[in-house]
Amino acid sequence: MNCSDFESIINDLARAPLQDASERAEALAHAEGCQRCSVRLAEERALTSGLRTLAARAAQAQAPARVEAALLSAFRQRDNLILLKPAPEQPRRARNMRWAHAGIAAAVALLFIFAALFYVQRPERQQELATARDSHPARLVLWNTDTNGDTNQRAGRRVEAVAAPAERDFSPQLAFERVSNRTRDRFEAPGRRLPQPEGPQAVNAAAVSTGEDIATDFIPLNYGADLSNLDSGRVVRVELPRTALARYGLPMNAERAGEPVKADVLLGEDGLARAIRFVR
Amino acid sequence: MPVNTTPSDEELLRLMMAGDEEAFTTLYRRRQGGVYRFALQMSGSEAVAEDVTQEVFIVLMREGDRYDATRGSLQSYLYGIARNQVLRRLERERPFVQIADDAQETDLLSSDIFVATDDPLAELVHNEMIESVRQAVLALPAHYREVVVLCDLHEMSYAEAAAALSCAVGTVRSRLHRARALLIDRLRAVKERGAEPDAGSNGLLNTARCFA
Repeated sequence: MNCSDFESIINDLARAPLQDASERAEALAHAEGCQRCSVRLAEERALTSGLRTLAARAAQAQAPARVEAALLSAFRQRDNLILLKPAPEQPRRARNMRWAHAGIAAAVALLFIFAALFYVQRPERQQELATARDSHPARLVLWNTDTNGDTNQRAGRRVEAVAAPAERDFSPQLAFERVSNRTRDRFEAPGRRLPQPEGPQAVNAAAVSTGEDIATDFIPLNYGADLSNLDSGRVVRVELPRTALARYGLPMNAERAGEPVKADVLLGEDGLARAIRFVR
Repeated sequence: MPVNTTPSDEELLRLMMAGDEEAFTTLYRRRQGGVYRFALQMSGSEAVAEDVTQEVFIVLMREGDRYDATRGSLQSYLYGIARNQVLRRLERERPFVQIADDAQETDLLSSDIFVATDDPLAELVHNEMIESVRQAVLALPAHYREVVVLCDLHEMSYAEAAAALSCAVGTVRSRLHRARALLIDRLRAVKERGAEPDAGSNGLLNTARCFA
């Protein structure tokens, strides 16, 4: 045996798993006659001894009991774990296609966003919005209901209702008077009775009828609708921000802008809001 | 002649996958120590070892049906999972491993110091030497460290280690040969520095980059 052969088996010799007795004897004989290989074998044996001592030191090391407890808990929910198993890996082509689709979708979404921004920001649109704001100070979107003779026949047409007419000579007080008179004529005609509030607000509603509260007349929410055809309905007491007064063209005390204002909403048989009155 | 009624790892795994909690507990208690020590010796961190042990058995619960007995023992399979988990952690954290103070490192390569004695000083030196070996193992590159841990610290055969590491037996042999040579070089250097009169006298810690 030469030094190269000895080097090739020195690990096994030092770690003692070498099974071939004759090879082992031959290697040891070589080490006795070779100073360099003798030193190498001593180093390897010292290392083996050190590693075994290190292993013996750690032999009793174990995972803490909490690991077992956690695993047992997980085992009892094993079905969930199996459900959470990662999906089988898709072929590269399928993955690439998925990314391509996601990219296209993102690009289309960005185009829509930019187009919408462009439409909103263009000068003509801004002018339209400004004009609309000027002419319709209190705008409320409702579903228009055709009540001509048949309250169940719904036209289903979406309209923008305004509380005050878009007239050049618009005046909150004038509008208030005009609406009040018209509503009073329709609801307080002989033989007709104003719908009364329902539910928890019934007490307050009674106060309205007894004059403890001061209320405006009903203001039609759908300005074009004919309230005279409304045979019956319900009144619901609500609270609105005080700024709602201004939206309906009524004077508002700016010092009490943070306080809500009470209002009665008149609902038709179909449940749609038809008119509103403010209560103080 | 008594009949061996101890169920094999494979049998316990089969029962466990069928939902037998007792089989899982038995298998866990039988194999957790080795997995935990492997992770501890690979990472040098008890926290990592604890996490890895837990993750290994979670993976076993989830993917135990993927175990193929023809490719190695269940023990090797578990070590393989643990090895992947540890390498993932090491790759993520890229730690700087602190190497022991030179003054604590002693004459390692004279084999008589490995013998425990009643002499307190000798015992102290012995402990320091063991710590030097531990630090030297931790400073090995991961692919060398894992063969040292499996073959020398866990006394696995080359074939078992190869199954755990998913590589050829020849690869394990050559890596172990190289790893042990690196350890000897490192410990020899420690010994030479320890022989210098002023070595480590400033009390500062030396640090070395972990090559894992």
